[in-house]
Amino acid sequence: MVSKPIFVALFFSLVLTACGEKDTQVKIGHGGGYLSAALYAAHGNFPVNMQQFRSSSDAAYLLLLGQLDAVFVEAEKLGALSRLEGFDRLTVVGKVTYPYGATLVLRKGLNKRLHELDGLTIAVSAPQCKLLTAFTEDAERLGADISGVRYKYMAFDAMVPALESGEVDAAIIRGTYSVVALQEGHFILYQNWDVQPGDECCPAIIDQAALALLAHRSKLDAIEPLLDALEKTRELSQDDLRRAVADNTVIPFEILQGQPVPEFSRADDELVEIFRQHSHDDDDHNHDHDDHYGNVCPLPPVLGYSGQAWQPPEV
Amino acid sequence: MNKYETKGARSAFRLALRELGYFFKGAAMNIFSLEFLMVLIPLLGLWELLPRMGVVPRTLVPPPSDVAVAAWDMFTKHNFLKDIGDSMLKFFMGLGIAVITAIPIGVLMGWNIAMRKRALPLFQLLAPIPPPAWVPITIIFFGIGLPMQTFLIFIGAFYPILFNTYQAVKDTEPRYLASARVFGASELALILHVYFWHALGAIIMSVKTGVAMGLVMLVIAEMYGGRTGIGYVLVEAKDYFQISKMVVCMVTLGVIGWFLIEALKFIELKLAVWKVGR
Repeated sequence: MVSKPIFVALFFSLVLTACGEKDTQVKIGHGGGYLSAALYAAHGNFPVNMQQFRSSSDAAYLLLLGQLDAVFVEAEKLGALSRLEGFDRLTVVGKVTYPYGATLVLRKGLNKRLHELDGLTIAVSAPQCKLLTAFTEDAERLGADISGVRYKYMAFDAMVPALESGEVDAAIIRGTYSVVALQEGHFILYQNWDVQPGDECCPAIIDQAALALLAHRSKLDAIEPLLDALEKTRELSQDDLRRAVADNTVIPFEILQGQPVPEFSRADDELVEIFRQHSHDDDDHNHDHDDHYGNVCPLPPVLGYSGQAWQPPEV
Repeated sequence: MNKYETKGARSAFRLALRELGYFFKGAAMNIFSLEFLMVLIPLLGLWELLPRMGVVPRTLVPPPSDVAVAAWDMFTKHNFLKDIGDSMLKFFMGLGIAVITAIPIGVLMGWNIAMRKRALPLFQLLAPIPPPAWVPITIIFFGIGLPMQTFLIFIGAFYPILFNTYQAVKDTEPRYLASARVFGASELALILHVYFWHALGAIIMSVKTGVAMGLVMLVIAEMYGGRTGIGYVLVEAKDYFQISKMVVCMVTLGVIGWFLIEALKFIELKLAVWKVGR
């Protein structure tokens, strides 16, 4: 029989060993979904402690507090994030690019063709958004009369919920949201992937960066092998990446087929600068077209959004 | 309208104004009492000083002065009043439906044993389900929008009101009932004049709990659907790293909750004065 002091000593040594054991894996936060394809694929070959969050902002807060080593965050949030204290301890080490695309999604159950859109309410992010321009030009080219269409301005984030609630009949969304819309059972009527980066529509269109990978400067050495593993996923076939997503999420493989594949590449703090220049300041917000907090397309410089003519960056 | 009716309307209006005055005076005295101010002011001072002195990061823990600036910005530039109005509409719809369904069901269950045996097990099975767990199934049934949000607020407020009402009615003093029966009171008269009034204090108390739960569910409902309301703004502010605005939303919810509780306390004072202060 074990005596009481020995038992207590054993118990405490066990507890102390457990507390002292360090998790050596890189802790990375992400929002999940299709855009995490490279991470899912890399995870198969590289041990990494992946932590999925409902919102990448939650992961970003934990990164600032030092509880995560790296985080995938929506590129359009970089500007706002960079204003927080402690951001100087972070650096951009990579990005996930995805074709911006112009996609017209019809609410589920609404069986319409391109020339039958008259009278419908379509959600768009701003009156001069390039995606809307691309859609109207294509509609005209195909002989569809869309003069009777009503537009409702809202943030991209709000469009799929607005389709779900029936607030709008259709939405012109950017490519990254098309998988979400398909997953919800909505129907893609039109898609144009030729919207080029560097147009004047939205900050996120710059460089087609959908996500940025932010890391702690102090953890760069530890993250390096992960970055290599993420880069290597570019050598995989598109179907391999789609399979990795289907295996790690509830998104069926069939929905991903036909959709472009997100790509990971290395990046640096220049990305923050770009988004910082084109993100919103509350004082010069155009309140006619925002939701509340800048999650919108800014108006192009001709309408005096920022007061300065904006030059597209060289891509 | 004859002169007597006009006079009556005028005096009713004067009475309402006077009661409103009493209500605001009482509510203000509760929050601006010397005792509470002695706690509040040092707390606010500490909250202002710590971020300013760099003890905590100012962008992550904004001082009250930053929160005040953000509040001014939200009310003047972002039409935050509309969000408050939208939230209140949903909230009162959900709470209202909860009150007008839970109180009668609770009274009936407390009054009649046969009804209790049939209905109570169902509610006892459903009540432990945490209200946020209803979100996915609510979205499937109602889609995203006002009905879904109203239902979630309703479900949050319903059970506290129901069970408190039921328990209070069930615990009605038997001698009151016996006395009423001696005077020939019917069962309906017992419900309307004995059970209900005996339970009123507990019912008002349960509505206070319902208000708190309803506010919790309001934020959850607005997080999941819709594009307006305090909960929506709160989550948007969080997602776009605007902590001051997030705090404004939290303070607004706190003020709304406080105001509603004060209103219920006032109603309790007027309708169930024998319960007040116990």
